[in-house]
Amino acid sequence: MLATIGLQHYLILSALIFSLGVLCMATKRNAIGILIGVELVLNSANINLVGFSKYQTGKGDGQIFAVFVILLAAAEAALAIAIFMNFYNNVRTIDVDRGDELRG
Amino acid sequence: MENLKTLAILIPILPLLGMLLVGAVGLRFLKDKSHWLVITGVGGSLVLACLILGDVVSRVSRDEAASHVANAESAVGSAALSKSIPIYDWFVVEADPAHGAMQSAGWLQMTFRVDQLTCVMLMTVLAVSFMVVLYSKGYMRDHHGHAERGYERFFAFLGLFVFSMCMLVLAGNFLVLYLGWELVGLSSYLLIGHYYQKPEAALAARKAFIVNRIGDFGFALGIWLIYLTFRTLDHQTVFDLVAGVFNYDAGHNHQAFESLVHTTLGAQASVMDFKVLVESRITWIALLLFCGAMGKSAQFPLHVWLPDAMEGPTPVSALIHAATMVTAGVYLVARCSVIFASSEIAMWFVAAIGAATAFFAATIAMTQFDMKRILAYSTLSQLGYMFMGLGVGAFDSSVFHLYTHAFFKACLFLGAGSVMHAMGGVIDIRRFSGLRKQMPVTHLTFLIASLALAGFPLLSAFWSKDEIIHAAFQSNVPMFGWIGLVTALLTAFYTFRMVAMAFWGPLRLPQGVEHAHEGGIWMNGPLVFLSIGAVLAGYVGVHFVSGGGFLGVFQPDGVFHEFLAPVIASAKGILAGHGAEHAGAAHAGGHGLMYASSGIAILGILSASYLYLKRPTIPWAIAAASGSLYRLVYNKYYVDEIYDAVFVQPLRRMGRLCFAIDRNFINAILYVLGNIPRAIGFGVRSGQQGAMQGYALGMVIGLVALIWIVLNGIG
Amino acid sequence: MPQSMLASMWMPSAEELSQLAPLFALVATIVALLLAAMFTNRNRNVAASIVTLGAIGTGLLAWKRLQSGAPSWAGFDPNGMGPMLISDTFSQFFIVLACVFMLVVTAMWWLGQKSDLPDSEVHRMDATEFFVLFVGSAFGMSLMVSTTNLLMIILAVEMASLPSYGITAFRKKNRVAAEASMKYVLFGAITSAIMIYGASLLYGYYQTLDLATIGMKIAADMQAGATTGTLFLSVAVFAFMVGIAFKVSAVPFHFWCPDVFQGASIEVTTWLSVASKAAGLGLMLRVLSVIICAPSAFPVEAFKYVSLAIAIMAALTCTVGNLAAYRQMNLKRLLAYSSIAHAGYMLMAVAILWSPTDAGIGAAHPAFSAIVSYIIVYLLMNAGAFFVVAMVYWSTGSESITAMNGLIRRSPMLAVCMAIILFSLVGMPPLGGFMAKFYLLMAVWKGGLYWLVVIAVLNTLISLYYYARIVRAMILTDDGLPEISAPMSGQLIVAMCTIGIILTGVLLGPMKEIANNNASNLYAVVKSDVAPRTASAAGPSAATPNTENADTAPTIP
Repeated sequence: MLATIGLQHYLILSALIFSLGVLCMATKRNAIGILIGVELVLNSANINLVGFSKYQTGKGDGQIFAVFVILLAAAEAALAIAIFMNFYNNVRTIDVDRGDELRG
Repeated sequence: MENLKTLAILIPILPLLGMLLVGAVGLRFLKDKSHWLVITGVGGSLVLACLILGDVVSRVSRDEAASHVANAESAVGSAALSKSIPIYDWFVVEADPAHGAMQSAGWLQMTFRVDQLTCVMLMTVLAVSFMVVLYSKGYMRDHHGHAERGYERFFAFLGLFVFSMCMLVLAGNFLVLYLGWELVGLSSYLLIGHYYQKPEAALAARKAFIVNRIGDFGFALGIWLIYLTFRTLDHQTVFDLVAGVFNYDAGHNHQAFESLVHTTLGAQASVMDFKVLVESRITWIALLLFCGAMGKSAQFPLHVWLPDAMEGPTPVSALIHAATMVTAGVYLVARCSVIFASSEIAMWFVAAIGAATAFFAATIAMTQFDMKRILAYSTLSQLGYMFMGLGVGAFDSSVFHLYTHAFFKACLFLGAGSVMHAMGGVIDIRRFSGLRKQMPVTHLTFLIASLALAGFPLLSAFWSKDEIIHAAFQSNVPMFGWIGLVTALLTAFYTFRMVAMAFWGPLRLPQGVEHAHEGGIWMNGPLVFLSIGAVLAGYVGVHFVSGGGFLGVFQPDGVFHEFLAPVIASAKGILAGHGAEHAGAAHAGGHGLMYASSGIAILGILSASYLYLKRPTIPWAIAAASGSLYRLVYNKYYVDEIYDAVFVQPLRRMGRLCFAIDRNFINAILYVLGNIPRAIGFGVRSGQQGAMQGYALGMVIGLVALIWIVLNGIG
Repeated sequence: MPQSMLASMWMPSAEELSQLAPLFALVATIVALLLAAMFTNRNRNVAASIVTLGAIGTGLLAWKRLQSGAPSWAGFDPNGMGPMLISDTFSQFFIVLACVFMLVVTAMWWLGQKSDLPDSEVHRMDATEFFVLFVGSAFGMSLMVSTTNLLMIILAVEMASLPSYGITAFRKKNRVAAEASMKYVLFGAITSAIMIYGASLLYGYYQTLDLATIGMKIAADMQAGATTGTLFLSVAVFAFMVGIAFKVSAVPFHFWCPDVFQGASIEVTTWLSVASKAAGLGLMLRVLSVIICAPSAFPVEAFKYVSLAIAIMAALTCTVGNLAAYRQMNLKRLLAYSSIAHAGYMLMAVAILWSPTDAGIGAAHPAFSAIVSYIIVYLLMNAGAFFVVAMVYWSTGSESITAMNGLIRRSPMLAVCMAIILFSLVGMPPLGGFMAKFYLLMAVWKGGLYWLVVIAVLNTLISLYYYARIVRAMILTDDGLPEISAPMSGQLIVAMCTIGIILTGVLLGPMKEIANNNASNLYAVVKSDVAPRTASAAGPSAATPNTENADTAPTIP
């Protein structure tokens, strides 16, 4: 028998993606890589929101939330990449390891 | 009440404003006209002090019509005088049920108190301050009228001092008193060190500060003990409680006392326990408070800073180190007369320290040549008189002496400053003489003030000093009276030694000074005013009788004493309970003593004038003959040297040791501690990991730890 | 749903709109900036004037709202979902603070662009962009304190953060600034992602975006003895709080702070050090209050451990901040660590707010008012301190502590003010810092976290050392550096801050009374936010009862 897709499936998927995102953030040395990790986490949150919205509240506010999060992610990425480029202009790399002038 | 409150707030605020304005606009825009700000501030305060005096006097006289003044409790208008005026709560601490109700009412209140004693002090302080500020306008300039370096700073600090002194005098509880106490110490430090480029001045400032700290430490402990005992720092409450305890056995008004105990210490407090506690601690409290007074008023053995403090500008010496700040100790003891009167040991100690200082300082003064130092030792000696008076229970006489002393001593110092100004900074009386002709105003005023200091009959100090000596003779230890008389002789002698050497005889000027000249109206005006004060100020303390008094008309114990009587009434009551024979009522007698002390004063004056004018070789011969004794006195009994050997050097060695420990050991610990956060922050960043990952890892670990704490707790 | 209500949702009346006037004013300022740039050829003076006017206008509007008192809600959802935006004394109070601080920072920008340092070049060139981002972050911070809705909180935090990243990166040719902004944006992105994830979990668990409703449900669950899902719940709550902790730079979410403060230009550092933290704390107080105040009738035992966790975090925050500041040579970095330490002190009182014990509940109100007073004094101290550092920097081009050497001779006024400010930062009586710290620790003591007070006192001792180091450099070390040419207006601002600090200390009691009264208002307002919602959820006007979802036990994966 074919199992119906329920809330659990959404949540498990979301948790998986969240873990992947955190892993990505923690291991990547490239700034873009870290940013990708951030996007993964944001998307896992989106899956949560959509899933909860569909199965539990039924009001759609979660879906609206998800739309806002997508928008935020876009804005954040735009700004982050601009800043990475600025870093690249100064340091000729976007390896975050190289950003170690500020310490102590 | 409201009127008093407004005035009481404004009096310290005006000089403070003056000071702040000097700092804000004076330094930049007014420059050498900055004195106007401070003159206006202090002058304004003086006017307000007159108003406050008028207010208090009118209250007292209004009540006098109704009832006798000694019973101030029942009187309506003057009842306000024995209460603190709350300004605001400096500190609000929520009620602690374990303690009394007083705490919740804000035990750290800013309160002022305006009563007769405050009025006397305010008038004295502000009148002298005003004169000194005016004088400084002339003094702090060279002969061409150009302001000295640091002129604005000097006036700013004078303003600060007057503010602090007013705070001290107006204080309605021990906290504010302590605040003012420390503030005058600070401003004294700043002003002694005014010429901070001069190493002696910087050292003297430091010495004054450190010696005062020693006294203040005791003072702070005393205040702490008062709080521990009474659970309040309010003056009147503490005094009422003490008076209640020591009048308890006399047996009147138990109910009022008990209810006061309960409101202050909480309903569950036991009155008898409290009584025992107070009785066991009162001597300690009094002695610790007196410790502070000894530091501030430079009593032996904490007197060493005052002569050195003469390195400060002369107006400062006149104002702070003669007329006002150094009398703060006297004021403290007079204010806390109830506490001191309750402990016979403390009273004896105060009197003994006072008598010792009076005598020893006078002997030192006879051997010195620096005019300002002579006056400094004379100040010590006079302060000693005041403490002796306090110690034998003549609180009003001591305050009276404080008040008269302020005028003639400020006048003497300002006169010395005038001489110093004219002599191009030379103040050694061996290097000039005969200034009488060239500086007539200074000479005349200086002479009048000297006569007053010497106790010449009918001048101000004659009345006040005689009262103290009289009270000392009446006390348990008549020895103090004899010391007083001998010291009076020494006083007259060293004063006229100075006058004779500096002003009389042939004209002689130090090298480089062609002509001695007066300092101008700004300097002479205050001199004249203060010398008038030196003559007349004493007459508020006498009344005139037709026959029977001194010279047939004068009788000690005038309006001044009557005015102060309510403030010290309860202390007198306690003293009477001790069964000691004390002054007060006995002012009436002792005309014989007055004649005797007049004789002594005139004897001292004449002998000094004779020896130093007609036979100047004799003093030298005596000095040479007495050899080591003379050297002992000339070197101020080697007190400084003893301190250096006993305290300063060992402490310095200990300081070096501590520094070494700090350097090598504590610093190492701190260094390690200081590196822990780096280890947290960057320790994880080992190997290939970049800074970012270290940060991120820290965050994740932190987050997990927080969650773990909560989950672990919930279980 | 009645038509009128629906209509009012779509067509808010002028009166409703006027209640959000301060927020509109900030947006209008941004628009005006952009338009003015177009028409005045990016004139920097015009831009700065517009910001000044905008800040004053916003501040006045907020002040007016603050006086009128009555709270109001915008976007109120009649279905018990709570408001999207809140305009009450609490939010207006923070907006007024933000506006005052905007003026300070604008003044600093104005004076800074006149110096001939390389930074000022950038400031002169791109004034419009700088101010648009600056006002944008101010708008975000104002939003942060004006809402209890999860979505709006997320949007507000992002609105505050994104422009902050931008202005941090403003010194484009500067390698340090580039590094700082990269760290800032990455940390910001990571923490906000985690925060959003936490928000999504909270939303799913309680099926609402309204924090007050969530609070009530948490309390009800705990009361009913439900222990299932505590892991889920604590992950959700803490993940959500990460974003706020990042804003107030609580350890271990503080790593960005020193780097960014050192790398950013001094105007930005000043702005972030106070405004960002104040907004973060405002948000934290708001969130806590609506979560905690809702169930105040029945204290939740589990909160004890939350309180403990926050207390540990607070202790770590101030300890790490103070110890790390110990050997800093860069003044901005030193002040950054100092600001972390101060955030730690304030978090101590936050821990009390969570505490469900009797002592903790008794101390909640003092703790709340202590934090509010602390923020005000902290604003004065930091504005003054950074202004002095800025003026030294403009004059010497150095941010090192050695640039302060002999300041007492080079500019006596600045040195004296700075010394007072630093001693106030230590918490020395009778200065404002002492008053603030004293009342804060008093509240913590009353709340029963005695060990926390001990740690705070030890920390104060440590902090004395590094603040005194600056004083020592200013007064005792003199290596003959030339005099500082400090602009008068800058000196005036420093003097005003100093006077404010002294007054708050000397007039401690009266100030406390004012703070107490205002904080009581704020506290009452924040508490009362909850009441109308519960009323409207249960009341007859709520046409569609939306409670059935709450009854069904949430599924825990």
